[in-house]
Amino acid sequence: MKTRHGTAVPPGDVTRATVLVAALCSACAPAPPDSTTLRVALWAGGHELEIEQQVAARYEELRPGTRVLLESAPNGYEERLLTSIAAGRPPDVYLLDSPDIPTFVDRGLALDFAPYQEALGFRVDSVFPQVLDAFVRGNAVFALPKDFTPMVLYANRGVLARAGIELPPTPAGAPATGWTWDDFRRVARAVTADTDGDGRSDVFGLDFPRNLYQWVPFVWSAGGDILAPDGTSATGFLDAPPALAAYEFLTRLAEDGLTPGAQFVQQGDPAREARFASGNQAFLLSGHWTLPVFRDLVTSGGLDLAILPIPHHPSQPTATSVLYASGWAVPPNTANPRRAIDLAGFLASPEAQRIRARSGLAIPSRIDVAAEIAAADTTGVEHAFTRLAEGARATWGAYVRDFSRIEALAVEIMDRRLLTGEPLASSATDVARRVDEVLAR
Amino acid sequence: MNGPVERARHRRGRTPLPAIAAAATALGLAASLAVAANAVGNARDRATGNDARMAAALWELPGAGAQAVAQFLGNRVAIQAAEAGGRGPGEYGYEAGALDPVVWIAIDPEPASPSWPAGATVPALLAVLLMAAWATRRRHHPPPPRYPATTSILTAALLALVAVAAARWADLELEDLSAAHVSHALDAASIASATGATPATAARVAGLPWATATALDRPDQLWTMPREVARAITALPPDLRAAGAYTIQANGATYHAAHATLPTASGAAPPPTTLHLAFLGYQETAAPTIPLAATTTATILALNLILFLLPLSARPRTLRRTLAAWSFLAPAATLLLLFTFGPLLFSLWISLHEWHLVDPAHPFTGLDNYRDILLDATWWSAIRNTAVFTLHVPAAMAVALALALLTQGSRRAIRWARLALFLPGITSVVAIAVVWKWLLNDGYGVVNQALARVGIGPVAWLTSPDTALPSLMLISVWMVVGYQMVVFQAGLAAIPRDWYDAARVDGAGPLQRFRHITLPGLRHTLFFVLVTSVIGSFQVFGLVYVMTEGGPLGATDVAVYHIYREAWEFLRFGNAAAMSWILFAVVFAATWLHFRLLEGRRDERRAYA
Repeated sequence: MKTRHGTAVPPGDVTRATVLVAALCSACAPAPPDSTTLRVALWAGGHELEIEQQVAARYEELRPGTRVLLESAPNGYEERLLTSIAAGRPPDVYLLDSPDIPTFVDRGLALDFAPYQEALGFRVDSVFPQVLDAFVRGNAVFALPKDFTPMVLYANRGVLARAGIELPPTPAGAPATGWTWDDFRRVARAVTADTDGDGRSDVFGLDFPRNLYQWVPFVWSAGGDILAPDGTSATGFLDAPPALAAYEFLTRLAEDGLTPGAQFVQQGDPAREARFASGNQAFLLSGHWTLPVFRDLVTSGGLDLAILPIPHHPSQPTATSVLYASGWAVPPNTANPRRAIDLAGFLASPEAQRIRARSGLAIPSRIDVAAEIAAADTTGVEHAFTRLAEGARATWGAYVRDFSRIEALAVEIMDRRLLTGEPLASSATDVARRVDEVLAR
Repeated sequence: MNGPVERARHRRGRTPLPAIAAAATALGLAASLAVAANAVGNARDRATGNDARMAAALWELPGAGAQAVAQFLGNRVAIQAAEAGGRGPGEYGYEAGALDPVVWIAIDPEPASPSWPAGATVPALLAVLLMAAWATRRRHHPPPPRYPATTSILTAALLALVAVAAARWADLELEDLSAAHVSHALDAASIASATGATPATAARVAGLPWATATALDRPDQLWTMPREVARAITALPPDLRAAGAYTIQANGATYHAAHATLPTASGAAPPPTTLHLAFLGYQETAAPTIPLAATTTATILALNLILFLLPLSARPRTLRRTLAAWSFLAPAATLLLLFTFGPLLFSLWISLHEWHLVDPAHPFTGLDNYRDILLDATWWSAIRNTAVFTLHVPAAMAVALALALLTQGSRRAIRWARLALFLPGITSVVAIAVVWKWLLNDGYGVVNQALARVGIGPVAWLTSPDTALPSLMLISVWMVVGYQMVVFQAGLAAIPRDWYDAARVDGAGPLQRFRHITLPGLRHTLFFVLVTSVIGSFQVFGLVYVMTEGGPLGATDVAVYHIYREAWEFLRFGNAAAMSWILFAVVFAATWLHFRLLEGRRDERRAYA
């Protein structure tokens, strides 16, 4: 064979070229639509992601021919999810965090599961009602609850024992006479100590709860709230006497040196878990997600852990904690609505929740599965969490749009007192006014 | 025009191609047209929400079924009517619930008329200003070719007319829409009343594109419409609601609404009342914005290109060379247009709208975002923090220059010192920030531990509003000083050694040599480092994001971080885009000021020459 210019071309080359072109063409040709791949957006990382992959593998066994692709973004999850939706390529199923519910539900980015409850075998009375409520609007259910956690107080019994304070033996044993702010302050003061004699405390009661998601249960436990019942205004609530009492209680802890420093500019104090586990902090305000960090220590006897309710104002009979939940949602414009609904149903099913419970990051949303986990836990910690969740309320973020903006503003209330000495009433009134402006938009 | 210098000057005088001004005008025209055309789309978007929202809403309809969904939403939601029949073990049931007493409300918003004609003229005015600026500069040079300039001026003059006409057209169309949809809503109610049909069926028969359900007595449950509208509806007295059609003023717009109460299907005891809202509007919500803008832009650019090339056709050699040059430039220019100027213009577009990332309803708000920002004290606080942060630049330059002078030479120790100083400049900002965050921690940070040994501290490096920003400035100096040192050393190497020798012979000391030789010799290098560093410092983000998150009490809330939060935490992309443009203006002004100062010195030098 000769080319146009008369150069001989070996026949083998022609064959190879033909095969190459054919291969390229086949590669360039549009692939048939893969209707069996379902994409799931979530924020799991590390061990949690491995567990979720086990859940996905189980679903693939149950639905042969279906592939589940987990697209996890432990950091910047909301950004990625919103961008994928804006780009017209939403995941088939996504994990919806309670503070994100208005953002997604108000914009119609979550399908209502109500018509499919029966087919999916999902009964509303099978999950904790306070968890389900966050995802419900009227008769519509916009996500199938995955798991949740209340905010609780982790207590290091070893630190308390050093100060001569004994807790009741149960992991959820609050002081028998009640667990009021006065009780808590007394204990925190007792444990705070300078053990190395350098003139500065190195054992503390609690790390300062700077952010709204941490301190809102203190306001509730004083009989107040941060917003009006209809969520439309903050003035008269965020700056009301119960809220001011909560700010006063917490800021006094810091001003009295019962909390360590270096906490005012950080979302999370990175050393707080280490301080708690090493016996330099008596209490840790957190959710169930912190439990895996301590599980090995608890099992090996290196940490004597108790789970306590948040203390309440002396005028109130009990504390009201805040509850954070997540659920599986399906965008209405998914390419595979039918299969996506089915997958979401499985991800929220008892079987998936049992597999997921191995990660120990949160409490399963199903009452029966949570009870199983609690019964199997010999430390009693799971039972304590489940019990403390009973009186908890869902975060305002589950109902109020632009709540992240409110959270950003609310941080100022106590910061201004601690950093500039401004009276709490003044900063709270100012912040409440600005929150009203946000809510009015 | 004799010498090469004069020829060069002449060439410089011709560089601002008329085509640039023409293109700017063309883009202004396209933007103006798009704004006007989009006004209709915005109104429809506001009326209809988005397809996803409506899809979600439709699923609520009792007894609606997938057929209704498929019919309402067409192919946008890939749910086929055929699926409705596929019930069985493990399958889905689409039919649930029963027909409750319902109330229908039909809403069709109409944007506040004053905003968009005014808004549409903004790009037009900008284009005219551009033209004026271009036409009035360099008058002493030969005038530019006539055709592009004439075309540009004419197109600029047409902008306002087009915008106003389009806006008026949108007004008229919306009026028709409102009337039609209110009547559709009433039709739906009548059909349902007369036949006992389900709301979905009634809506379909009446031709209502969308409908959804929620509870009237719970304003927080009116989640499928703008909150302000929901409030307005719930605030209506019952007798007014019972009157049928009415209008609502809310959210800067007029909403036409209507409703009716449907009878119970079974005649049994009334179950809980459910309110069904019908958002009205066209199913095809996408206004011809993008095609119109693209076509217009392409047409006008092509026209200008032809007008630009036409005079050259008489000179084939020049034409060939011009075409060859542009063909070489085309790939890079295309990339620049697509990925630099395209996003830039898009952000300008976003800044004129209320823009949420996933909500296709983007109401045009004109300059409202800019006005809000200019009145926002936190934004000005961020700008002030940024300006203060920029003060680290001269400090860093002084240190870098000193280091550059000290580390001249090629001895091994000096080379290692240079390497050590340069390393922070090529290290990830995040890594640096994480390490420094630990070093400067109040409680366990190495810095405070070291200071404690000499009886100082503890210093609240990052936790006090007074020290947080200076701490970041110090870290920034440490980060950039190595890079600046290397640049200064390159500048120093370019200064002839003879000048120093001659100065020594003349008896000049080290300080005199530095003042009269080194500094003037480094003038261009200093200018380059100053301008690039100031621009860089205005864009600081990583340090703040990792180390302080804008705190404490907003003491380190700098402009770019503020913009980031506005976009990605508060999801207000319109505001964030407007902030970006304001920041651009600030940086541009600062850079221009630098250039003007240098130009002044150059002129001064020429005067002495």
